[in-house]
Amino acid sequence: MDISKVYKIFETLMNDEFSMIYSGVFSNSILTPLTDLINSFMTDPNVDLKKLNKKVAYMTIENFQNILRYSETEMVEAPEKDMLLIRMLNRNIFIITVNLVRKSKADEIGSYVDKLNNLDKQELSDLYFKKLTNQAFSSKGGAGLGFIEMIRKTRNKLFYKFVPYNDEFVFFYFQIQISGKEEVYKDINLLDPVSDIYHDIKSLGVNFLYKSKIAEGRLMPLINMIKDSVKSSGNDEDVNTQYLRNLLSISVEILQDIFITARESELMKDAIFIYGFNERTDNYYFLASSYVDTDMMKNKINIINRYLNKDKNTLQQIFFESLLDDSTTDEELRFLGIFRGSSSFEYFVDFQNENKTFFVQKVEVTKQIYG
Amino acid sequence: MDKLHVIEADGYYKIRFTNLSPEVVIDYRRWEINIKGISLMADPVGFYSQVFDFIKNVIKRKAPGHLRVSFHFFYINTQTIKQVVSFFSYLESLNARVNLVWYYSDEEIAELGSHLSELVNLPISLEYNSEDKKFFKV
Repeated sequence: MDISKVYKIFETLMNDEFSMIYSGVFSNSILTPLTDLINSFMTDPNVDLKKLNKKVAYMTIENFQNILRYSETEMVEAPEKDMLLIRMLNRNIFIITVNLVRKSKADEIGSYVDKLNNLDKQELSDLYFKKLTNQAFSSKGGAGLGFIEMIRKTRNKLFYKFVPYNDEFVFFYFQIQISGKEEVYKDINLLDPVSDIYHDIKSLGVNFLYKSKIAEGRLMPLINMIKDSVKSSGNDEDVNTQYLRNLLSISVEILQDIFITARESELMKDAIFIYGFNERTDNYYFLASSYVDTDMMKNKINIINRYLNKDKNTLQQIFFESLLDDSTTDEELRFLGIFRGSSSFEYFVDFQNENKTFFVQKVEVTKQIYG
Repeated sequence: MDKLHVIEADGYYKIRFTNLSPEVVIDYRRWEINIKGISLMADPVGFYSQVFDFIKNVIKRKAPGHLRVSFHFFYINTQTIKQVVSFFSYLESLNARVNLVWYYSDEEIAELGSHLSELVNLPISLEYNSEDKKFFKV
């Protein structure tokens, strides 16, 4: 397991109140779980950004659809993929996309965005309605109206960068910022660390990453996200009901484990939850990491070591016996549930001090037993 | 683009809203057409060409003498605006008295309405309306 990459992502996003990455198949069916998650976060009483809820949801949809419309990533071989990253920092929301575009278009996009960033409110408005009247729409839509809209709606500059890929294509990194606290925190460019994140996301095969509190109200949207994302992969085998059901039940166990044992920071039980696909083994996997109280962690390790290397039949037997045995803890049952349905379990523990421990668990779920 | 699902009831046709597309009601007794909701679908051309073709057919069949058409968008993508503008041109060409109403709940939609009114040779009134709760499903 590549812990250093996971830890690096965790560190980069450490101070985010909320972050989410989608890098699976981009299809409209993902929009509902995606906006449900945003909604559950924005309306959380601790966050209280209800006022921005709709704007963030709508603008996420627009940027998601821009990937559907304009990305050229499908023109090149895997592992290149599209990525949507949403971060909330200091009550400002950043929506970032990464996709490939033709090299020949890069200069045009760059100088157009530069020009727009230098216009004032009135000039933007004039240009917007002039373009609208001229109806110089391209076949895919826009005539650059989308960029103008984004500045007008967010009242922040747009940021972009291009990173070389090959002779024909370049990576297009693009960011919009929606301000909750406008006057003190305007025009912030967060694109710098995104190249590293994108690189790690690709090499880990991440389809979806969520970093924030795992609150009870988020469990359903998270599970729906996994379900819809597996379905939109379009692979019939993966949508095989029994397999999908097993994936979902394991994800529930892991999410509940984080929900119960992640250490509380000031307001949040912060954790990272990843769902991805391991190309090498052809399995889906879940990875969860969080800080855990050190005492609690020692107990967890005992449980893990008790059951980790048992064969499936034995686990199955222990599991059903445990259901009738009052001395079995919920935590034991959770790990029994994870172990009996998964094909591999790895974990990593970093005892940082007597109070807190960094814990990562990775579970792969094989298709073979359903094949 | 999925085929449009139109519900027919006594005196009107209705297309239900989704989390990405608006509700469309065509009341052919009173001759009122209302389009209301969010317009954020990935393929606005596919959606609106079906909606407007349907409306055009109803109008062609029944040839009304007057028509009230109202739009109330809570969020609209730029591709949708293009479809709306071309529908305006169609309404202008009709041999009927057409009143347009552009409802708005926020500044952006209001501003859009006032600019669109300059593009069309029909009376268009801008009216504030705050009711948008049921359409926010996303």
